[in-house]
Amino acid sequence: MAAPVSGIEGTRDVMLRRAARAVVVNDALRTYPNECCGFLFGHVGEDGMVIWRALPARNRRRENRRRRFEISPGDFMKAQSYADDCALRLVGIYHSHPDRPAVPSDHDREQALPNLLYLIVGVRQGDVGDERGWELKADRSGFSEIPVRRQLAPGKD
Amino acid sequence: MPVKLRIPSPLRRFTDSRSAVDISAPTVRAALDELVGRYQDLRRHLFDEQGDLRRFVNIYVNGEDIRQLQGMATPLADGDEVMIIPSIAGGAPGSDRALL
Repeated sequence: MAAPVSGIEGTRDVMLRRAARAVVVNDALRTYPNECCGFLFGHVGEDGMVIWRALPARNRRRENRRRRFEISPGDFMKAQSYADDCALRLVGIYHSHPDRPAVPSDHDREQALPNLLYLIVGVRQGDVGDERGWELKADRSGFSEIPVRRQLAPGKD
Repeated sequence: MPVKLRIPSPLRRFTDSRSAVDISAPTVRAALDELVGRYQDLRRHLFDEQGDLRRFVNIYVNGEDIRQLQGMATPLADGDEVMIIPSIAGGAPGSDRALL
């Protein structure tokens, strides 16, 4: 079966490469106590999704950056072009929940796009907890969790 | 010659993987109505229960945000390019009010 042309349709397994995770973790720590946000790029195949790269994005919210993030349409377009240029797919969005668990909020649901992985990292007092992956349900009623595995050692999937 | 609607990658799942859809329509609203008429699963992701465009959905005509034009009533001419571009937003549980 050919891989889907776009999005993460049917993905039930996500592997987060070390380099991509390092970007997410460093961004979460650097931005604490505010929320960080960024894009995830990778491939989706029959064996699931592999996230190869993460790129931090600018949080354009001016207020309440501890609880909210927003990425501009222009940055979304740049990320889509970046994916095309790198022959990767824009597979997801990451953001942090400072001093909150890594589960989606109602606010996340209202704003979420389908067919993207929402990777959330919980950060407490400068300590990064587990990252968890979520996908918006087709009827927008909530999120389904997609297990995220870390790459255990360089070069090993 | 119709207008070209550009579809962002997460929504192409609902347009048979098409990145662009050609539609003949006199206004932005008519073009979007035609689009969600053809691809009905797209509707709930572009419009809310009241039929209004969702807040995170941005529409550009030839590179200009329709909020700076005539909104959904913005007229379209043959060859125009209409881009649907999401702004990505979210955040942790809790009040939207600024914390002390």
